[in-house]
Amino acid sequence: MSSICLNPPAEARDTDDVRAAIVVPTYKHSGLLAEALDTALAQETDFAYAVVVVNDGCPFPETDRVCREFAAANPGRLFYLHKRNGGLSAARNSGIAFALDAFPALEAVYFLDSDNRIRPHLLQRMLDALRAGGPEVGWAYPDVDKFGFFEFCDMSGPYSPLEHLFRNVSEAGSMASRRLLDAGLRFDEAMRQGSEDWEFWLQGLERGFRGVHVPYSGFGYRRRGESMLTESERDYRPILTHIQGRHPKLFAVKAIAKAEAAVGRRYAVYLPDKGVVRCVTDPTEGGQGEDGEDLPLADFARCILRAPERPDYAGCPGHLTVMDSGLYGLLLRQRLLQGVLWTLERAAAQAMVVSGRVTLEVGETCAMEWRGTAIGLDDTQPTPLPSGGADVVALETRILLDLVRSQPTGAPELERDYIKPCVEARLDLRLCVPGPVAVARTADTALASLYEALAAQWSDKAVGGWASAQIDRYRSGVASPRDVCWQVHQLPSVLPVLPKGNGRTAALVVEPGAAEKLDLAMRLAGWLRGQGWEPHLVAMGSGTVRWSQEAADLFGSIIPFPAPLVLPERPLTRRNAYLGTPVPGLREEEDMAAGTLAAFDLVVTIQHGPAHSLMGRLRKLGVTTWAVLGAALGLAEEGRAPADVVNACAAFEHAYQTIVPLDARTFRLCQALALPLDKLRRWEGEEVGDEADWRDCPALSPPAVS
Amino acid sequence: MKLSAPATLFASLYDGTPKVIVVRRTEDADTGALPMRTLCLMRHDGGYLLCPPEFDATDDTVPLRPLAVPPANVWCLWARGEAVKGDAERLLAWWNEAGGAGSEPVLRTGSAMDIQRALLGQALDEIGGLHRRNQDIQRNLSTLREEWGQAARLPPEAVELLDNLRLSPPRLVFATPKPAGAMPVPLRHGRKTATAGTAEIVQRVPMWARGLVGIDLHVDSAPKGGGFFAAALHAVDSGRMLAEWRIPFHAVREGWLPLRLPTACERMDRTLELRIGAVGVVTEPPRLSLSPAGLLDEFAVAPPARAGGGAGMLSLRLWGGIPGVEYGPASHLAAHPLPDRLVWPLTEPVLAQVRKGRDHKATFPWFGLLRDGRILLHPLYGEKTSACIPLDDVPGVVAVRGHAVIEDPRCRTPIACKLVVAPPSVTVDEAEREEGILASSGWMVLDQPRRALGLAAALTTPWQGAMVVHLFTDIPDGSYGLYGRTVFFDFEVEIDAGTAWAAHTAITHSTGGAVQIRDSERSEAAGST
Repeated sequence: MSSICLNPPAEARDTDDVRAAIVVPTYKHSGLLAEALDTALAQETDFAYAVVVVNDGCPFPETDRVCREFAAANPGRLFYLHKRNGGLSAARNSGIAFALDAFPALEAVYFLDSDNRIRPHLLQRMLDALRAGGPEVGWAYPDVDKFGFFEFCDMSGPYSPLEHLFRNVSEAGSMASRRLLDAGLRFDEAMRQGSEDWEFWLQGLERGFRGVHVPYSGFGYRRRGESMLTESERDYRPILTHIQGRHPKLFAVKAIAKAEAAVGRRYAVYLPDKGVVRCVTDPTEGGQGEDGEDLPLADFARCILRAPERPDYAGCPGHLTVMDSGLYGLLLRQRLLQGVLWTLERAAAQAMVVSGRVTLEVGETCAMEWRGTAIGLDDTQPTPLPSGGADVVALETRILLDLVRSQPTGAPELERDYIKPCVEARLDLRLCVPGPVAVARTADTALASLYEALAAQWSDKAVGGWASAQIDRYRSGVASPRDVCWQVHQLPSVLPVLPKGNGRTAALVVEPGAAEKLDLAMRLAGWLRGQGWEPHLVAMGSGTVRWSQEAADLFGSIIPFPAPLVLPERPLTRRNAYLGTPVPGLREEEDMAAGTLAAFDLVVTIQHGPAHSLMGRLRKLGVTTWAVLGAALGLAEEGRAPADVVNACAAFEHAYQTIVPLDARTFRLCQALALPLDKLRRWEGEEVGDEADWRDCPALSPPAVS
Repeated sequence: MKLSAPATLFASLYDGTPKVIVVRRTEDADTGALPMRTLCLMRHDGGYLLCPPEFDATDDTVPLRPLAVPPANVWCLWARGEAVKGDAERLLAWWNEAGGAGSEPVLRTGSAMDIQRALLGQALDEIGGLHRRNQDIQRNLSTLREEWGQAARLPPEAVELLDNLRLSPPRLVFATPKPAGAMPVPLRHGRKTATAGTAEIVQRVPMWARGLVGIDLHVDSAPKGGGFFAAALHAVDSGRMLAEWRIPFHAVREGWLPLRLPTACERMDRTLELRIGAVGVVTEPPRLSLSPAGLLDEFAVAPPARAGGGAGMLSLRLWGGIPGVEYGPASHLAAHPLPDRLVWPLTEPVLAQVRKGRDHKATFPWFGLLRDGRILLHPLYGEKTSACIPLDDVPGVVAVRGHAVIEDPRCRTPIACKLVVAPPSVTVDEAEREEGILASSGWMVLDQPRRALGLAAALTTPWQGAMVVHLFTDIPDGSYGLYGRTVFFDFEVEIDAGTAWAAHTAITHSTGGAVQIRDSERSEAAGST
C-alpha cells in the first residue's frame, strides 16, 4: 500500500518543458466545469502544456470535488489551486502567478472560463500564431463561436487598436504571451462586473503590444440567457467609464485621432480628372502638407464593395467627396482643405448628400463665406442624385454603398434616413484667393459615374454574388468617427488634427466678420509659434472671414465653422441670460462645434460669446482653455456695454483656465465681475500703462503639455 | 505566516495526488510510514518550510519559492507531538486566510498507526462517495435520455418553418459565377483517405455546416482511365471530417457533379473545407471548373489558380435545408422521399442583373431596382414598359413565380402586368408577343392599389441552362395611368428535383458524427449516376 502515490510520478514532476498553460478559473459552474476541463485536456499539440484550475472559493462542494478528481486523474497535467473568493480577475491572476512560477519554459497562458469549451487544435494554433508574430504581438484572439443561444462573431481582419477602444474584439478566451505577462499585465481585481478581459488587453495596447487574430481556432463560448456577460451588458456604461478612467492616455481625443490615422483614412476624395481617389485624414499633416495616399479607382471600388462583406475596421474611408484636382490643390495650398472637408462632413451628417458650388474670385485679401440650404426637409419622397452642375459633392460612403447595393440599375433614388433631417444640403462657398483658378463644374456628374461604375461591378456575380454567402458580417461595414467618438466622449465626430512630431496645437477661435479679432489672433499666433506651438484659425459663426496671405502662412490651417450651416435657425428657441446679459449659444450645432475644437491642446477664444458654452466640455476632454477679452476687440460693438461682454465670459469662468484681459479697463471689469485674480494673465504684447496692479498681473505663458 | 517550498517541489504541491502534511521539529527525521505522499512542515529561516521528508533544510543552495495559495488535496495535517501543535495551528490559520474559510485540512494528532487508521477511513469514505456519485450520474443520464425520448426536440429552424406554415424544400443558397477556367484534380496513389497536406485541391466553403445538404461541383472534363474521384468535407475548427464521397471515374461526367449529404447537417461547425483528390491510373485526370473569386479572395482555391483574370475558386453550388431532415436522392435510399420541387429564391445579387427591356422617356423614375429586391416598372402612356432578368445556367426550372403590386394608394387606374420566361435568344418584342417563349403568366390586371397579385409562368418540361425572365406593364384603358407606380417582388424559381437533385448524385451515409460512404451503396450510387 505504501507504494501508491508516495511521490508524484515521474511525468508529474516534469514541468520544465511546459510551454503553455490553460488557466481555468471556476466559481459556481461545477456542472459545466468537467466539460471545459475535458476539452482543455484533449488538446492536440506538439509541445507540453498544463491545465491550471483555480477554484475561486466556490461555495459548492462539488466544484472542489470535480477539481480534485481531475487533478488526481491527470498528475503532471492538471494543477489545482483553491483560493479564497476574490473574483474572476483575482483567480486568473493566481493562475498566471502559479504558471509563471511553476513552468520555467512557459511561452503563453490561455484563459478558458469554466463554462466554455475549446476544440482540440486551439492551443496549437494560438501558440503558433504568437510564435510567428513579431515582438509587438502580445496576444492571440479567436473568433467567438457561441453555443447555447447560437451566434458567431467573426473577429477576422487586421487588428485595429481603434476598434478595440469601443468594441472588445479579444474575448477572454485568448492567449497572452509570456512577454505580455512579463511586462506586468494582470487582470484588474476591482472589476467584478465583467469586461475585465477587455481592460486586460487594453493594458497590453497601452504598453505598445497588439493582438493577432487566429482563424478557425475553435473557441466555443457558452451563451446563456443570464450570465456574467448579460449582467455586464446592463452595467455597460459604468464599466466603460471605469475602463476609460484606467487608460486616459488611450482614450484621449488626440490618441483616438492618432489611432484613427494609424488604421485607415477618414476621407476619400475622388479626383475625377486624375482618375484616382485620394485618401486622407488630416490633409495638413506631413512635410508635403498631406498624409494621403492615392488609390486607383478600381482599387477604391474593391475596397468600398468589400467593406460590408468582410471585417476590416476603418479600411474603407467613411466620407466620400468628389471634386476636381484643381480645386483640391487650391484648397490645399490655401490651407483650407481640412476645413472644407470638415464642413462637408458636418453637412453630410444632416443630409443624405451634399452638393456645393464654389464661386472663386481673385483678390489680394483672401476671403471665405459659406451659405447652406436644406432640400427635402423632413420629406419622405425619394429623390434622385444631385445634377445640374456642382463643384463638390460629398456624402457618407455607406450611403453610396447602400444605394449601389439596393438599386444597382436604373436611376437611383435617395430615401431620407430617419436620422437625417434633410435629403440634400446645398452649399455655396464664396472664395477669394490670389491668382486665377478654373474649376470644372462636374462633381455631380462624376459622382453619378462613380455610382454607375460601382453598380456595374456590383452587378457582376463574382462581386455582388457574395452578398448571399452565409458569412458573418457582425463587424463588417464602413467605419464612422461616431463609432468611437460617441461612445467615449459623446461627440459625433472630432476634427482630425494630427500634431506634427511633438508639436502642440492651438485653435484661435474668432468670429468671421471681426477684423480686430482676426488681427489679434494673428499676433497671438505669431507669439505661440515662437513658443513652439502650431496655431490654427477657427472662424466660428456666420459671415465672411477675411485674412491676408501673411495670416495664411501663420496658421497651420483655416477651419470654418459656419453657423447655421444647413438647417435654418430657430428664432423662437429660448435664449439664456446671465445676470441680464444675453448668452448666445450654438444650440443644435454644439456637439459638432465641440468636436471641431476637441483635438487641440489649447483653445483660445478671442472674445467669442457663443464659444464660451463649449469650454466646459473641452476642459473635461483635457483641452487647455483661454479667453481673451479687451477693448481693442470692440467690447461695445455688439451694442452691449463692455461689462456685458465680460459678464458673458464670467458666466463660464469655471470652464476657463486662463483669462487674458488686454487692457487695464478690462482687467478691472474682470475683477469687478468676480473673475478670480489667479486666472487673470497679462499678455506681454500689450501696453502696460502706469496702473500698478495691472502692471503686477502675472504674464501669460503657454501651458505645459503632458 | 511566511511559508516556502523548494522550487522543484512547487508545481507538484498543486497536483491532484492526495497528501499528508507532517508538522515536526526540524531535528526529527522520522515521519512515520504513511501510505500517501508525505510533506513535512518545519521551521526555517524565521518562517516555515514545506518539503519532502528527505529534504536537507540546511542546504542553502536549494532555491525556495513562497506560497500564496495552499497546496491541493491535503487529506490531513499530522502534528507529531505537543511541541509542534502551535506550528500546526498557525498553518491552519494561514490556510483559512489564503484558501478561504473551510478549505483547511483536518488536524490530527496521535501515533502513526492512528493516522494510518484515520486515512484508511477517509479513503473508504471517498470510495463510498465515488460509488454514490457514479450511481447519481447514471440516474441523471437516464433521466435525461428518458426526457429527450418523450419530448419532440425540433431544431429552431423547423419551429420557424412550422410557424410560417410553409413546406421547405432544399434551397439553392449560394452559387458561383459562370465557369471561367479549369484545374486538374491531383492524383494520389492507393486508396488512402484525403487528409490535409496530401496532393489535393482545397476549397473553403462559404457556408456553415448547419443546414448544408448538398454541394454541386462543375466538372470541366471527365477523367480517362481507372480510379475514383475523392472529395471530403472537413470542419476546420473542430478538425473533423463531416462527409466523404468516392465516385468511380466512369461515373464522373462533364457538367454538374452533385455531392449530397443524406440529411441536412445538424452540426454547428463554422469553417468548412472541401478537399478533393483522385486515386487511380489515368491518361487524363478529371478537371474541375473554376469561377472568379472576385471580391473575396479569401475563398480562392488552393493551390492557387486563376479564373477570369483574377483569383479563382471552384465553380460550385450550395444547397441548404432544415437540419436533420432527410433529402435523399431517391426513394429507395431515403426514409422520406425527396420533394418533387426545389426552390431558388432570387435574391438581390441575382436581381442586380435586371435591365430595361426597352428605353422610354419619362419625367419621373419609371424603372429601377429598389430596396429588398423590388423592381419598379411604372407603366407609361401609350407604351408597354418592360424589364428583363437574365439567369445563367439554371438547373431544371419548371416554373418562375413573382408578385406585383401598385404601391401608390392614389392610383385609380387598373394596371396590367405579365411575367414571361424565355430563352436568351428571344427578343423583348417576341417575349411580349409570346413567340418562342418557355412560359408566360399571361396579362394579369391589378385593379386596386396595394393589393398584391401572384404571377406564375409554368414550363411544360424542365429547362436546363440560361434563360431570361421578362416583366411587362401596360395601361389597359389607354389613360395616363397616374400614380401607377407598379413594383414586382418576391421572385422564386421552382426547380424539378429529378433534374437538379437526384440525377448523378453521390450520396454519403452518416455514421455518428462523420459521414462515410459504404461500399455497397458506393456502387449503388455510382450505378445511379
